[in-house]
Amino acid sequence: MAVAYFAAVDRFRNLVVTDGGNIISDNGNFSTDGAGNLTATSIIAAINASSGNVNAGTLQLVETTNTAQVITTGGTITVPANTSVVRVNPGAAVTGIILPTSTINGQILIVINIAVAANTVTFATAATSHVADGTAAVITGPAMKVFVWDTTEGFWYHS
Amino acid sequence: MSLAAVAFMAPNGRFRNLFITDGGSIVSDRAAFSTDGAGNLTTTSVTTSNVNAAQDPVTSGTLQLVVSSGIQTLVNGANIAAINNTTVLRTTAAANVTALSMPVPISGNGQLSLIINTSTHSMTFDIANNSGMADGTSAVIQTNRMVLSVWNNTEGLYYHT
Repeated sequence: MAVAYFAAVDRFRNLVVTDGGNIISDNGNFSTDGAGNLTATSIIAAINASSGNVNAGTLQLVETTNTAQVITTGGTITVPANTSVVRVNPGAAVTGIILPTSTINGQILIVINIAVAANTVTFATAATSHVADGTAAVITGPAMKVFVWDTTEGFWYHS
Repeated sequence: MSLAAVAFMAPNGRFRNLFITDGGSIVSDRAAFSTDGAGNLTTTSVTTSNVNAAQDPVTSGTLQLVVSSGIQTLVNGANIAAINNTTVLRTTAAANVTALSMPVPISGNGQLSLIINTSTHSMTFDIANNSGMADGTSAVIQTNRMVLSVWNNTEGLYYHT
């Protein structure tokens, strides 16, 4: 390794800048390689890799941990911030259900219906529910649907 | 930050925001950027070309995929065009279309592809050998719906939900 700057001062030993331009810090657990590649144990932040690839070992989506939402006919499913998976638990078959609009083009949302098969979740018309196929969108129980938000169309699309 | 934290090069104003603690963690960028001595970085945002966490899980609050700005108008026998660094492809059709082919995978094994049908017409894929879609002509994107697929290198096919 090239020369470490600041190494003479004990408490600064954890910040090393090499002649190659890379930096090593955080007890050696955080480093760059002089070419812009960062290695760290974990990163807690909003990550924008829209000009490249995200290569994930396991992709885990944040899911609501509270009690599943008990929705009733005409109800709106709540989507908390920074959450990709929400659970609903209708007490009977419900209709006229609404998904909130999104401001995030390409947002992925998974809605899980944890209820029994008979307690289906049927969405309202597209204009009301913001789901592109409106009343044709039905989540049986127990099952889920994956939605993606298209800002141009102003709708959620599901598979 | 521990009590042992000190301002690194504090006499020089430009470095006043870099702190290193006795525990080895670093704090910078007006405290918006910090590590904890174990390699865990907390910051406001990271903008990068690629994220490679192939050996580790990625946990996402909101997962946002890049959406094509344009829209592809599909006809019978069309190949849906891949777009670099774009996962969500928007499509339309003037009538029901058949014999479609999936985009050529760009990043390879495990790549996700999400195709939105914004039209009121159905979109049916070609046989698997031609379309790259595992269940071939059984794969239909109904009107105003989307299909989410994953590419498998071993089989050389996309599998959809």
